[in-house]
Amino acid sequence: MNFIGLFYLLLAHYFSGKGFIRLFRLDLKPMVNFCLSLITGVVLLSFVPCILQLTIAHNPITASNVTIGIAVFTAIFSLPLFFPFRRPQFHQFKLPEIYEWPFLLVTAALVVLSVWRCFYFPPFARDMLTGPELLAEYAVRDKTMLSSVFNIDLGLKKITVDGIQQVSLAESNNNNIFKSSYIIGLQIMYKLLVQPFGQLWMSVLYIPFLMLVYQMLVERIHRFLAGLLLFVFVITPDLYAYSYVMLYDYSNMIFFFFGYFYLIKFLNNDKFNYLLWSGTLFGFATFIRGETLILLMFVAPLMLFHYYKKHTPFKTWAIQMIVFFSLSFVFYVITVDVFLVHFVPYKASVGSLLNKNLIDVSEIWRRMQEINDRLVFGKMGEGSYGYFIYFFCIVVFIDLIIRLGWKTPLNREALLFLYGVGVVYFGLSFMGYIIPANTLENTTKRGLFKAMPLILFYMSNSIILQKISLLLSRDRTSKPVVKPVLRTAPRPAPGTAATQSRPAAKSPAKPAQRPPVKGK
Amino acid sequence: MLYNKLNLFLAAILVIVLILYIPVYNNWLNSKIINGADYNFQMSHLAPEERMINRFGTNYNVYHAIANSLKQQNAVDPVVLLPPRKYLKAMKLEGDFDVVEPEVFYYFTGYKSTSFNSPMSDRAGWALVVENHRPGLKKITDTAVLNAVRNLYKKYN
Repeated sequence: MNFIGLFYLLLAHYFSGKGFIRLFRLDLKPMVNFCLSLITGVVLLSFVPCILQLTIAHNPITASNVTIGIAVFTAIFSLPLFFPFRRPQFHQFKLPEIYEWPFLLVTAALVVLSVWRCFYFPPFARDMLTGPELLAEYAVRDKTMLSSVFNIDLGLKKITVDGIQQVSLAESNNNNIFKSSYIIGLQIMYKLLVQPFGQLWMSVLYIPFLMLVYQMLVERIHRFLAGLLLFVFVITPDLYAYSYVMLYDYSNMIFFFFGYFYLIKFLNNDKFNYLLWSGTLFGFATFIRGETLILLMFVAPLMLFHYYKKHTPFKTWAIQMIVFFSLSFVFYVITVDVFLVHFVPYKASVGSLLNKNLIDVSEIWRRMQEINDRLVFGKMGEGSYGYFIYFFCIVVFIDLIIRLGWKTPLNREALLFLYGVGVVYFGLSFMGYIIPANTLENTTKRGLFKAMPLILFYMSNSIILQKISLLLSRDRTSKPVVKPVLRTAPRPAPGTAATQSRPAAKSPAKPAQRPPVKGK
Repeated sequence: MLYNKLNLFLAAILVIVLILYIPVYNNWLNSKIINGADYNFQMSHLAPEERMINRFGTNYNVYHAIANSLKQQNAVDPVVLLPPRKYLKAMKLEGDFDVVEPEVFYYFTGYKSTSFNSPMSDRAGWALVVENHRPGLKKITDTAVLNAVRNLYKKYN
C-alpha cells in the first residue's frame, strides 16, 4: 500500500472539502468542520478523473495526471480558505468519561476491522464487478474511461426508440455501466495512488461520519446514552457490512442524512446559507444515486408547511424552493447528461424501467405492505437491521404513551426526524411503484439505510431517552447533558451539573417568564 | 451515588454484553466478526493475487488457469463461450466452481467471453467445457463445432 498516496489524498479531501464548506459560511464547530470537510472532499474529488477524461486528448488517466488533477482541483476549492472568516472557537479537548470507553472501544474495534476489510479484500458485489469496478479497473489499465470494457459482451439488450438505438435497461442483463461516476472516479484515484483494489475511500467516509454522529449525539443526550445509541447503530449488521462492501448506498445514506440534518437547521434558523448547504448535500446524494430526486419530492411538503407557518412571502419561498431543488436536479443532470453521454458509448432507455400502468396506485400500498412484512418486521429485516427498527418502534410507542398520558410534548427536532423517516419509508414505497425493477431484496432494503441515522437522531430526541438523560445528568459526578431539549424538563437546582453544563454565553439570559394565562 | 461513573461504566459493559447476547447480534458477531475470517492467514497473505484468491476462492483460481492456458497457446483476441449454470451442475463438477458473467470473466482474466445465447457467441473461438468433472477449454475450430457446443449448452438452459 502506498501510504504517501493515501496521505496525499486525505489532505486533498480535507482541504477541498474545507474550502468548499467555507463558501457557505456555516457556523460549525471545529470537530464538525473537520469531519464534514473530509466527507465533502471525498465526493468533490470523485470528479477529477471525469474532468481528466473530458480533456483526454492531453490527459490520459495515469497516476501523474491524476495527482496533478487532484492538486489543481484542491487548489481551486481551497481558494475560499484565503478569505478571512470568523475564527472558530477551539474548546479544550477532553478525554471521554470512563463510562463512554466500553462503547467507544467496541466501536473502534469494529471500525478497525472495517478498515482492514476495505483494504484487504477486492470489491466483491456483483453490481460493482459488472459495472463501476470493472470500468475503473480498465480505465486504469487502458488509461481512458472509454476503455476496452465497452467491446466485451455486456449483456445489453438494444432496442430502437424513435429511430434511435438505445439500451433497454429493463431487458438487459446488466445496467450497472449506466450508474453514477462517483465510485468509478474514486476507485480510479485510489487504485492509482493507494492500492490495487482502491476502496479505502469508504473508510475516509465511514470514520468521520461516525465521529460526527457521536459528536452530534452528545450535544443532545447524556454521553452514556450517546455511546449506547452509537454502538447499536454500528452493530446493525447490514450497515456495518456496507461500510466495507463497496456499493453506492452507504455514501448515499451519509449525504442524504446530512442534507436532511442541515435542512432541519434551516427550518430552525431560517438562514439561506443553510438551505443552500442542505440542497448541495442532497445534490451529492442525488449524484450518487439518481433516485434520491424522487425522495426529495416528499421533503417539499415539510418546507411548504414551514413557510406557511412563518407567513413567508410567496416570492421568497418560491425562490428558495426553486434554488433548493434545482441543486439536486443539476447533479442529476451531471450524472445523466454529462457522465453517461461522454463516458458510456450507449444511450440508455430509462423509460423502459418505468411503470407502464401508473393508474394502478395499489402498487404503492402493496410495496408498503412488503416493506413492513419482510423488511421492517420480517426475518430478512432482522438479518439486515438487527433489532434497530424494533428499538425505534419501542421508543416511539413509549413516547406515544407519555405524550398521551402525561401530555409531555415531543420536541420539534424529534418530530422533524420522524418526518424524515416517513420520507424514506413512503418515498421508497413510491419509488417501487414508479420503478418496479427496484427489488425489495436489494434496492429497497439498502434504500432503507437512509432512515437509520434519522431513526438514531429521533431516538436521541425522544421523550423517554431525554428523561433518562436528564436523570443521569442530575448526578454530580457524571457528564451532564449539554443541551436539554425536553420542553417540560424540570429546572435543575442551581449549582447542579445540569445547570453548569449550559454554555457560558447563554448563562446571563433573563429568567424564563411565563406568558400571562388568559382569563386571570 | 446511584449513577456514579463507575456504576455507569459497569452498566455500559453489561449493556454491551446483553445486546451482543441477543440471538441476531450474537449470530452476526460469531459468523461475521469473530469467525468470519482467519486474520493471521490474511496478515501473512497480503499480495493482491493472494487476496483475490482469498475472496473469490476456486472461481478465481480456475479462471486464472484458463487465462494462463490461453496465453500459453498464444490465442489472439480469444472469445470464450460460457455455459449455463445448470450444465456445470449436471456435469457434477468438483469444488465450488461456478459460471461468471462475461464482465466478471473479463475482470478476472482480461479475456473476452460470451454467453452461449448472445449474438457475440458467433465470434467464440473457445468453449468452457467439463471433462472428467473438471473444467477445461475446448478449441472451436469451425462453425459445426460451435453449433454442437451451443446445442449442448442449450439442453441445460
